[in-house]
Amino acid sequence: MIPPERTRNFSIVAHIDHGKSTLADRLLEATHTIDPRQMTSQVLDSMDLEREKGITIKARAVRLQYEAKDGQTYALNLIDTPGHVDFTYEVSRSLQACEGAILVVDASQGIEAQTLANMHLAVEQHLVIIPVINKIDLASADPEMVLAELEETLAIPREEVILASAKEGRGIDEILEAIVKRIPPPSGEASTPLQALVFDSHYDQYKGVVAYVRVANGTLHDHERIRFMATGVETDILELGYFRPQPVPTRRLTVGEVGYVASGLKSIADARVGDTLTDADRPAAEPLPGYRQALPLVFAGIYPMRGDEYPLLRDALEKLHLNDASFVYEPESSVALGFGYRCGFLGLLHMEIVQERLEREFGLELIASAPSVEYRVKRLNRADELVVDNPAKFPPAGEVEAISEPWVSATVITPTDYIGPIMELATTRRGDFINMEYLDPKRVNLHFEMPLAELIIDFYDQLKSRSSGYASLDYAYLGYRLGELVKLDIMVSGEPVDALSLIVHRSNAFRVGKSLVEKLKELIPRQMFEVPVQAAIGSNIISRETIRAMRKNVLAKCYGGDITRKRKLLEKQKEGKQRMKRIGSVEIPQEAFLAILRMNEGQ
Amino acid sequence: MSLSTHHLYVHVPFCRLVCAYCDFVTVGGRGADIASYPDLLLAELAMRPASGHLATIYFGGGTPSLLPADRVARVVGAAIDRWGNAPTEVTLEANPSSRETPDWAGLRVAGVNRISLGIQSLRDAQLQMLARGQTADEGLAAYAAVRAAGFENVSIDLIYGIPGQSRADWREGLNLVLALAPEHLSLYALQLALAPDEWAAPPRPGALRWRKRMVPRQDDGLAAAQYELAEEVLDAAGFEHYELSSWARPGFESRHNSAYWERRPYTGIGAGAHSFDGRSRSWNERDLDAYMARTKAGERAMADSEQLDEPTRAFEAIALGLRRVTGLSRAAFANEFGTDPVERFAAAIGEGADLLEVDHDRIRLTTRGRLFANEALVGFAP
Repeated sequence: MIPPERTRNFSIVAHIDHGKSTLADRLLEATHTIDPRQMTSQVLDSMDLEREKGITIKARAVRLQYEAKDGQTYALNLIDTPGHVDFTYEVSRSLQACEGAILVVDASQGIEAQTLANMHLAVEQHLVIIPVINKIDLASADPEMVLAELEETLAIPREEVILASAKEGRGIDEILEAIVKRIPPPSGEASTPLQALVFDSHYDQYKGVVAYVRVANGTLHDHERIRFMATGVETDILELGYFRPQPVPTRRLTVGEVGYVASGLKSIADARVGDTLTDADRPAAEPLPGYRQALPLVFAGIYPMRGDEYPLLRDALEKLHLNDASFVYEPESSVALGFGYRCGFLGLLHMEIVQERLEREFGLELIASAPSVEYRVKRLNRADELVVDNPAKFPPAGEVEAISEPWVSATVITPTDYIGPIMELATTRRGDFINMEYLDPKRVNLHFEMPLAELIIDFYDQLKSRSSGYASLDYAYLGYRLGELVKLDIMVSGEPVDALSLIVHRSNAFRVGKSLVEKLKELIPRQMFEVPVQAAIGSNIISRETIRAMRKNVLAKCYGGDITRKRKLLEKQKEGKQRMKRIGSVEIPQEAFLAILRMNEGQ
Repeated sequence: MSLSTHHLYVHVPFCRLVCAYCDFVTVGGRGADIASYPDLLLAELAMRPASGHLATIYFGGGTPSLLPADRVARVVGAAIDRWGNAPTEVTLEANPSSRETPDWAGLRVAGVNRISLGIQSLRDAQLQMLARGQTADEGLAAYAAVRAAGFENVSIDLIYGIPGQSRADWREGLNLVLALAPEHLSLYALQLALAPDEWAAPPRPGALRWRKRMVPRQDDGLAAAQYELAEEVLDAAGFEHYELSSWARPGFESRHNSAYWERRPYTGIGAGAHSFDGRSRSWNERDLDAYMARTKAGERAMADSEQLDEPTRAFEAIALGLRRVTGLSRAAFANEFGTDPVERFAAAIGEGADLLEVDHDRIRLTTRGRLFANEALVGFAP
């Protein structure tokens, strides 16, 4: 049992791909927490998806036992954090469980948008920062440039910075010593009622919900009755322990210690990140500060490609939700796409992860509608606000008094060469330019405020393509602002097509309507009658195209050698017809909807 | 005709110039192989079973008129030997060109009694648009030569829907052809496949470029009007419209082609030729070299075959039967498949609304249905 004064709780934070996971692996090896020969690279990222995307989705906490140069043995709790902007809140809770953070910066990339975001989160939590410049082995490494950036932008003195190559194991000892020497031991009262911060949780099919906790005050005992203060749920502890990195059961976790609580609870929503665990018999007077429920910001319809997979999708969402309470879902149906679910996510990456997990872990083929945000609609003569996340559910234009939408503050770090194209991108996306800071003579930090709706549609891809891949992005939610927004309806043969409705800024309505209508004209096959395709705001038609009627469809020749071939063509045509959706009397291939949904992403 | 009637198709893939719009199995520039090809046809014929009574032979292509008359005679003779009877109709497709003047008299002696002339158009501008290396005069000359040789059953192919061909041009073209007084007419809308499917010979790159230029200049509304005009003009001229693209003077329907629409068994020999025995279909190697090599080696150069299950056979019965202007007999269908087609395909017939008409004997396409046959047929597909 190592006393609190020889315990250190720390995280590693970094921009994506700056080498956080590799550094964690080296720390585990150097402290013999894991045998290098048994090491699959990046032990902390336990899901395949994380390894592939190079990000850490679920935080894990591992206890390292380290014999320091002073001859003493220390317990170092490495608390891993999700490395993406969508999970800012989760990151902040993980950091709340620490006294220090290793800030990893790539020696050739320098400071990126998430470096700044993570640094700010760490500073807010009053953490001690250990700056590390990683990947100094690379030919393109320019540690001097990064040292200057750290000094100028983050006021980090160069003598505090450790130069390392996690890949080659350089700088690891120095980092371990810095953890012991620079990061303070945890403080807290052992005798006061229990307060343990839940900084992560996952669902285990045998142990139920497993909460990852950091004991702030008091002591956790095995098998005691506990209460989650925000949700009010009580349960008996099934198992208490810590990770090395495999779970090691223990009798108690005392002040400053980090470990896990297997609760037997069935729903991860009962043990929310940021909640405080206390002793049910002797509860703390107050929870730890900072809890809030993570709110979904980005919404999309998720539909099975094949209608008969709807029940599978429902089961998959239920199961996935056991593991990730931060997305929400409710059934919806669309004429074009059939039965599916409207889902809310923390952000775009979160949406992508959920969708990929559904496809990969449950073998589903999915169609996602273009992502949207939650609008607040003030109606005429009504006091209450309507919250709408699906354009199809908007009230008629005549009833709308005002619409507001979520705005974010966006930080873009880019080489100076790309300032022009990025400014142009941000302004066409209704972004307000706030300011520009030079990180060094060749790189700037651009700050914009813009509607989230504009950011979630293709903005990141555009940013990357306009900056040859160099620009990085981070954003934070600001709040709701009024906007000149209108609902754009698309009508085929006079019938509105629900799946294609969208909310656009009034100034873009004509352009968007025109391009949608033109695209649909290309995509909808000619019918035996003329089909008008229109874009409308309320009853006001702003764009129209006409699909000419097909005048004949007959095979000119059908002789002995043609029969098989022509039969196959008709069979194929029938298959295609079966996949078509009927809007009024018009048959529209699903491909047309998909192409439009994809095009929305590129508006 | 007894049930055991059989039909023979002979594919001759050679062309002096391959037309850019053509999807058939054709080869250009292989004149050297023409001499040896008939021997391979004879070899294949000897390998294939010959059942029933041989009613017709059809030499199709390609350009069968490139075969010397004595070789045609040997193939016809071998078929007669193989089946043990002489067919009543022997058709040969011919290309009207002054560069390849067949020995028409020799072909008659060989047993050919019906010539199908690929005139396509009697206007030079349209022939040029089709990029066929032939003139209207050559078409007229070929027709005259065929008649001079004594052929009493001549069919002419015409193409409509050619970019630049107006309704008036088409009327004029029909009248020019009617003045020749053929016994049979096949009128084909120019259909240009841009995306090749696995079942058609892939277009050569040059042909594909040509089609891409042509397609935007085609107007299906005009083509539909031209079709309706043909129905009107030919009806007035005493022709009977008996199949979607075929018209004949009474008694001169193509017996061979009718066999396809009536799903009677046929044997196809030559590169890419298809055969059908009532239950399964098989086809030969499309590639001329593969066909020649395998046949030379003494095996049948079959590329693949398919068994037709009941729903597929029923669908083919409908799809082919509806190509006949008189439609298909409900009783004959019920006799073969056990149910009245109106009952079995109630949904498809309901959907077909103004495209199909049903009376107590038959189902047929309406006038509008003949322009939208594919739309009417899709609902019947298995």
